[in-house]
Amino acid sequence: MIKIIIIALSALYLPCSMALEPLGEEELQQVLGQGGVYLSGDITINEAGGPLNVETDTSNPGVWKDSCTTSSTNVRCGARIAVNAGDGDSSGWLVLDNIRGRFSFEGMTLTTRTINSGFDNNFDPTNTAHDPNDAEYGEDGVAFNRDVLEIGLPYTIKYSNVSFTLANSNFARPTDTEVNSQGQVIAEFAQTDILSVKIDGDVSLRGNLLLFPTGNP
Amino acid sequence: MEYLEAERDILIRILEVANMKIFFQKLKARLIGTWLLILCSNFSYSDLETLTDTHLSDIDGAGIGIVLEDFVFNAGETVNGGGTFEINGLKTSGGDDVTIGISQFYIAGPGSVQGANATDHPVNIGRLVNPFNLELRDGNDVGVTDKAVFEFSAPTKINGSRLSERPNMGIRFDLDIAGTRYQSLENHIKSLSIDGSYIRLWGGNGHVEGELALNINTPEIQFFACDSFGNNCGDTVNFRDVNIELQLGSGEYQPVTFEVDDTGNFIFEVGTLAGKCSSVNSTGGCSSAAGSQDYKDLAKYYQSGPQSNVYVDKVIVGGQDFGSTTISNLQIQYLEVKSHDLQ
Repeated sequence: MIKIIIIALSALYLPCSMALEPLGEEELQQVLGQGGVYLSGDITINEAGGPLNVETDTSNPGVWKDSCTTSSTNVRCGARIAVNAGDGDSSGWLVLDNIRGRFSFEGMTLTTRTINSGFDNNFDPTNTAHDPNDAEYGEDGVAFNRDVLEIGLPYTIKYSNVSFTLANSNFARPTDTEVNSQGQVIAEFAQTDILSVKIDGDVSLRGNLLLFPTGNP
Repeated sequence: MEYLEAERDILIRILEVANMKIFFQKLKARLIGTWLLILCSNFSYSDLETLTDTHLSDIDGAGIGIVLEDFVFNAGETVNGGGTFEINGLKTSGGDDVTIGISQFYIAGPGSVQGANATDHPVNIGRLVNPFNLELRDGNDVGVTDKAVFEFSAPTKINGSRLSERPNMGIRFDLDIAGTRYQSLENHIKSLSIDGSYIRLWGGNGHVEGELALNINTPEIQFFACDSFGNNCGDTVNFRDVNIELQLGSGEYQPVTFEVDDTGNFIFEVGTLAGKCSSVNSTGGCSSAAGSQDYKDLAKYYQSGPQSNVYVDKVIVGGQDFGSTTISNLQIQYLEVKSHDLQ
C-alpha cells in the first residue's frame, strides 16, 4: 500500500515539476531566433471608385454607384477619416477626406538586434582623429548594450496618384444633416477644405527605425 | 500462569513494535508525500510571486524609445526620377487656382548641401541613451490631477543630440498660378535640434486637452527665391543661431485645445486665465487674500508658468547684417485662432 502511495505521488510529482522546469541562462543562449521578416506591400485605396454609403436607395446597395476617377468632384468619393476632438453635438469634425491611390514598397524588414557598439558622433567616416575619450564622441552603443526591435525602412516607396484632402466639417459624413423634432432640416452638411495633396512618384525613405523600452522596467 | 503472563508480555511487545513499525512507515510515507507536495508547490508558485509595495514602487514609468538610424527622407518632383508632389486648395484674388509644386523635401545628415546630396548623407535622429520617447505618464506629476497623460517627447536637453544627430532639412517649392509656373522658393534649415520638446494629451470632459513645448535650435535658417527653373537665385534672407523655446499651456490649469466648431471651421485655443481669481478689483487685478489658493495658483503661474523665448543672433538680408533679435519671457495668457471660409 505504501509503495503504491509513493509511486502514485511520484507520478504526480514528475509532470508538475517537468512542466515548470526553469530554463537556465546557458540553455536560453542556445535558442536562436529567426533571422527576421522581410515585407513587401502594395495597397490600393479607391483608385477608380468606391463604396458611396448611400443608405436611402434600397434598390442599389450604394456600391460603385458613381464614377470616382481622380477628376471626379463627387464629395462621396474616396475614403474619409473624421475625428471629433470637441464637445459632442456643438462641435465639428477634423477630416482627412478623399483618400485614394496606390502605395507600394518592397524591402521593409522586421528583426531584433543587439546594439553594443557604434553610435558615436563621427558623422565623417574619414575622420579618425577625434579623441575617443571625449564625451561628445563617446560610443552610445557601448553604454546602451541591449536588444532593440529594428524596422528596416523600405528604400523607396512608390506612390501612384495618391491624393488626400485636409478639411473641417460640421458633420461626420456628407450624407448627414441636422433635423429638428418636426423633421425639418435645420443644418446642411458643410465642409471647409484646407488643402489637398497629390503625390505621384517615388519617395526615398531609408534607414532603420529602432524601438526599445525606456525607463527602468 | 507465570509462563502465560510472560508470553502475553512478549506478545504485547511484539504487537507494540509492529504498531511502531507501521506508525513509522506511515510517518515516512506522509513525510515523502509532504516533501513531494512542497517540491511541487515550490515549482508551481515560483513564477506567481506576489509583488510587494517595495517592488511596485521601483517601477518607473517605462515607455517606448524611438531612434532613427541612418535615416534619409527625400521626395519631390525633381528627385527620384520626377513625378508629381502638389498641394492644392489656394486661389488668387482673381479666382485662379494656385498650386504649390514641391520640387524637393528632404531630411538628411550633415553634408547634404541644401539637398543636392541628400541620399548619400544619412543621419541618426535621437540618441540610444536619450531617444524620442512615447509614454503614458501619471498626470499628478505634470499638473493633471488623477489622469493618465499621453506624452511624446524629443530627447531631453541634458546629454542632448550631438552634431551627427542633428538633421539638415529643407524644402524647394514652385508657385503655379492657373497652370503657369512663376517662381521657385527655397528654405533650408541646418543642423536642427528640437531637444526638450514634448506634446502631452489627456481627456478633459469629452474633448482632447493638451500642452505643448517646442524648442528649435539651429545655426542657420535660409530663405531665398529663384526663377521658375530654380536658377538665378536672388538674395538670401539668413537667420543665424536661432533659438526658439515655445511653451503653450500649463496642465489642466491652462489647457490647449484643438476643435472644429459646428460650422466646420477649426478653433485652436490656449485656455484663458479669466475666472481663475475669485475676486477681481476695478483695474482687473486679483484682490484675493494673498494666502488663498486661487491667489497662490496665479502667483505660481506668473512666476514659473509657461513662457516663450526667441533669440536670433544675426538676421542677414542680402549680405546686410540687421543685428540680433531677442524676445524673452513671453507668457501667452489666452489665444484663440479660428478659421473662416472665404467663399
